[in-house]
Amino acid sequence: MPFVIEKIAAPRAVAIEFPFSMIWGHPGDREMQLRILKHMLEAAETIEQAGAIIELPYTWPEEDTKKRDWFPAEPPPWMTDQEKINEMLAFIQNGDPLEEV
Amino acid sequence: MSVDSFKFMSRTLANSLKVWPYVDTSGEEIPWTPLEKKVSECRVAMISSGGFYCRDDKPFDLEREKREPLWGDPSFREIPRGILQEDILAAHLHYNNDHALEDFNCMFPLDALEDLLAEGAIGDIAAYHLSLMGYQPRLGTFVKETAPRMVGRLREMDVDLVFLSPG
Repeated sequence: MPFVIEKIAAPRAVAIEFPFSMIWGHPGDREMQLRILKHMLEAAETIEQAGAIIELPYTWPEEDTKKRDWFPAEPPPWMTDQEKINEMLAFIQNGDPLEEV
Repeated sequence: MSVDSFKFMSRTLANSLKVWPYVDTSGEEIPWTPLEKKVSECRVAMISSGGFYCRDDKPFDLEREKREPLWGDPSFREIPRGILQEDILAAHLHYNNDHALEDFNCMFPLDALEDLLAEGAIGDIAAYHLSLMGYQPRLGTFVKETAPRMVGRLREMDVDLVFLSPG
């Protein structure tokens, strides 16, 4: 997620457009995992400027994108009803991200 | 940027993350630690925010998150090198855990990391990898307590290079 990487000012990053639950590729695709790891090694070795993001050229197959199978079966707790969504919206507007709870 | 950060998100989540109260780093320099060894000489560890834990360890506390949806368990777990599929579980309410329960490597590619070592691309692998549960709306406890403990653990293991993987 380059958008978030830039916000949090990570020193080195590699970005890929794969879904949450399979961010390293489909289950069992060890070749893709190894390929991405090699990109990360190369990034560690070659990035010389803080904040650099290397984008990888891989795309998630269209037929798998239609499955939308990365979403959990149940929505996460903050999305379960409007009252909880409103609590989240209030946090987003006025909350302290460094609050200790 | 050609990678779409929001492609696989619900509209509700994408809209939230676009206006999220990120910790403001705008006045600070981006931290930078030069890599002092060739990667082929580095001892490597991985950190996943996918909520992984060992079967005989305590899961991340999802029940409290269900009661208090603005709270996320700020602790971390250690995953020993060589963990087997039947010994690793995931506790994270924000992605479908089923793929990782079929093959944890699609979220936390520890087996492929062993392949890198076998090829001589890295120098060594730490005895333990680390995992956290990445849903942390209020980061205070994680930043002040957990992250320093994780860094301390990596230093104890003389790790040179850490790969962070989102969850």
